[in-house]
Amino acid sequence: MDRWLQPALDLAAPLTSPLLALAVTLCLAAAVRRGRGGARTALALALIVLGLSSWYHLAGRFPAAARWLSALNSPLFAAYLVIVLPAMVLPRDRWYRLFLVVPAAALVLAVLSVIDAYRAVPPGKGGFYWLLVRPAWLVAGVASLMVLLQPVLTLRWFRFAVRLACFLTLTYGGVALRTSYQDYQEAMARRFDPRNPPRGVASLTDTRPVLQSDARMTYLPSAPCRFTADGGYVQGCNLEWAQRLMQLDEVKLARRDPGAVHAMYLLAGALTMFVILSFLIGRACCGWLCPLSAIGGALDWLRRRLRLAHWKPARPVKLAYLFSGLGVSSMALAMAKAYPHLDANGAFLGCKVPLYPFCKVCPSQPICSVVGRGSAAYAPLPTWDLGWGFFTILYVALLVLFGASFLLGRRLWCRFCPMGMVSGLFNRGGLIALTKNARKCNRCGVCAEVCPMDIDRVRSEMDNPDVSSFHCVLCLRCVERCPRDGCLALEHVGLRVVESRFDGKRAG
Amino acid sequence: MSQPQFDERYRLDPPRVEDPGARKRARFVAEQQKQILAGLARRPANIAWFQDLLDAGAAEGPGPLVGYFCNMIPVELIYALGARPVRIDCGSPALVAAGEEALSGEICPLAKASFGAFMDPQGLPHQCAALVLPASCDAKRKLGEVLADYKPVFTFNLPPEQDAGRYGAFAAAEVERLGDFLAGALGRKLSTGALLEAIELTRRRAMLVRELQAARAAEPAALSVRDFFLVIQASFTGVALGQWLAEAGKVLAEVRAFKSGRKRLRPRLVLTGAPIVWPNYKVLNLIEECGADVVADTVCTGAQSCFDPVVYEEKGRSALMRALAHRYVFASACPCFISQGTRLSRVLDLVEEFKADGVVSYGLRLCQLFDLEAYRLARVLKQKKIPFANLRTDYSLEDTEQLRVRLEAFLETLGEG
Repeated sequence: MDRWLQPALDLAAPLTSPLLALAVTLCLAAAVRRGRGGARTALALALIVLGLSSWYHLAGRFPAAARWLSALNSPLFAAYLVIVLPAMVLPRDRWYRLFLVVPAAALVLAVLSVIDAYRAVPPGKGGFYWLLVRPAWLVAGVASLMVLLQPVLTLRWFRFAVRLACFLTLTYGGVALRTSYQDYQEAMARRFDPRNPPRGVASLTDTRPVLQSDARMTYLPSAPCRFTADGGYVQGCNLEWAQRLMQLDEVKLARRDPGAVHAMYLLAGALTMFVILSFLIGRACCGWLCPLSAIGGALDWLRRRLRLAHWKPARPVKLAYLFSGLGVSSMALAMAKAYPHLDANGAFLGCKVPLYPFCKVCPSQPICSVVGRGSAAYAPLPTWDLGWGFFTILYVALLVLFGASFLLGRRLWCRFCPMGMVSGLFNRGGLIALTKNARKCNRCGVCAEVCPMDIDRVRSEMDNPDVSSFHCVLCLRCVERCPRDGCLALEHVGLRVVESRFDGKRAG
Repeated sequence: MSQPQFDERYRLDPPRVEDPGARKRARFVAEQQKQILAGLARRPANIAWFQDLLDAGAAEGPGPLVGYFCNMIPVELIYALGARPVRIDCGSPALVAAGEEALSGEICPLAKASFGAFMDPQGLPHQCAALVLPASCDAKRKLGEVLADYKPVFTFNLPPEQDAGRYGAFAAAEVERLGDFLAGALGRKLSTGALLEAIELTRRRAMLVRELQAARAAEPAALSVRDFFLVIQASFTGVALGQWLAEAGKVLAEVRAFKSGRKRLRPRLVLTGAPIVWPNYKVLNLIEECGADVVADTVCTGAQSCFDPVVYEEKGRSALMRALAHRYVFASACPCFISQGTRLSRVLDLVEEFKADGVVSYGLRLCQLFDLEAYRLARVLKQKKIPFANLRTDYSLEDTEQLRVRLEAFLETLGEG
């Protein structure tokens, strides 16, 4: 398949750049805001795609630009531009069925990619190696599957399907979705290497996430944890990236040390990607993609089955969650800064500091690794000598807080979680918005009742049609449950994606 | 220990007056309205089923009846306790005079007529095991105390403002208290399972009423608004909702199947204002006789009464109580709250959605709440350049011709705009 597909994919490389995604969506948003016609918008979009693509290929000739540009690339953006964005904004008329050919084709190609990878397995080594699939096709395939499923699912089951797919990919992708037979064997070798026992944070360098090809690192907001089976599918959450940034050695960087410069390029790429992704979809990663909240969701489901009332804390408690999240993460990031100054014993000023201080206390590390690989992957409790017991206490405290918050207070934990919090800054002013037509509102308060983040603004806001707020994870539960047709809606690039419908069918 | 709602020390022997004359007049008014309806050009085949239910007042069936007033009582609680809710707001002009004799003349006709029905020892309210009223307007607030002499009564407290953030817990606690009262009065236990079933039934009713309203708006000739009200109000008679859903489903199928083939030229109106209760369809008669269609309403005995479903998030008891409070207290369009923007926005929204030509407000004489709200309604609609007529009247038929002249003049102006 590669023989004839590769040149086409090379030509389409700019599609994987978040810069193109940003340009296209900004152009769309501007066209919608000014009420431009379809033909003019299409022409402008075509010009943007052509212009940026040629610039992209030109810039590739300059090594410095090429490094930064390639660090930015991710198949996520190609899938977003070609499959997800059209599915979100195209009007649901007869022509939409024509568009569905695109995801169907992508799905077929993804299947072909799997077949291709299995045919490349050396003779005599035939067996089951899960899904051997190239990352670009996996991402496109999952997105396509969701887009194809969406018309037959209610919003509730669609969200469930997306969350399940993201959970499986991000938690088990490291072992079940390797790129090729070779890659699979390498991962297994790493896993069963006797020199590589589960050492918690230390094992970080011994695993390799699937989406780490070509020296690119794809980070996602929310908590796609690095400590799942064999490094997981993506590089990790944005706090892993932030810790790496803190660990950069300025002295080495000033001396143009190649290793430090390389890391700098990667981190600059990751930062750009994170900002663009957050600008595009706000905190939606928390509501739709986060595997940690999917695990917490199981606890929430348990409470609902037991018909126990949920805990609705007062405002000071919610603020305490927010500030302790910020406090713990900033403290851990400050400790990461000590990394270049560690002595031979791994100590700084006589105090032992772990490699990734935040990961050491983050509940995702024990939870996601155990869910992904079973109890064998359990990262042991940090020792007391690490930072005078700071890590030991916080590890237990946050683990308990995670369990209790999800078990008792719906998504209360997400008010603490610093991984997703930063994307919340883009909820207002970004390209995704929760909107309300106050004229259709009957003020029943169902939106506030169903909100897993316990946000009241959607109910109380009567003037501003944009009811997004910092804590909103865009799970769309309020849109799903609002009894008034067309009152609440999700808008992307200024176009309505889904609106409240009493009969439970997805609007469009 | 909380004290009883009504002061036990001053209980009275309730008046019971055998008045065959009033009974006969009430019969006559209902017959007259039935005759008017019989003259309609198109009626659903099974409309007699609904009409007979309303005419009888309460449906036959198992389980005790629980009488309730207004659209703010969570009837799901009553269904869940194995009882049948019957709405005892009275619309009979004949009983106004009877009520007036015991109470004062300066009370709204609905309260007087409802009390008149109580004075008749054979009246419908006497079949009820218990009564529930909301403390909505002044009349309802005090009527409970008067009626407590007849039957076990619960006055359902409402918060002064429809702010679910501030009063959510209060309203939910009141719903819980209502549930306790009903469980005590009926001697049964409330189970969440039964409550969920009842919520599902009323949700299906809401769905059906919405579909019926949409079908009517698309083709008003398919179903007269009077028959539409008849169908809706028949579900307040304590009839088994499953049975009602089946019959109303037939009406919906019939309305959907109807194709007139001709463009309907009659003006389309949105009706808002005070409750219109069988058999007092005076305003509806007038509007249709003058050649206009009511395509949508915000009347608490019309489509508005069943438009909103109970939406629950979790199945725990307290969560269900909150869900009932959200639906019945905070989504209510009654003018008894300090501010009522919901009804106003609903009127504006309905005008836009159903392409109405104008708005008619029905003000019940002696109801200050609707009167005072007409002030804002008239001015807001004027700002938006939506034609508006306020018809203020009571149950009596004396002013029918005056209203007809006013309405005809209003409808004439619609064509000019």
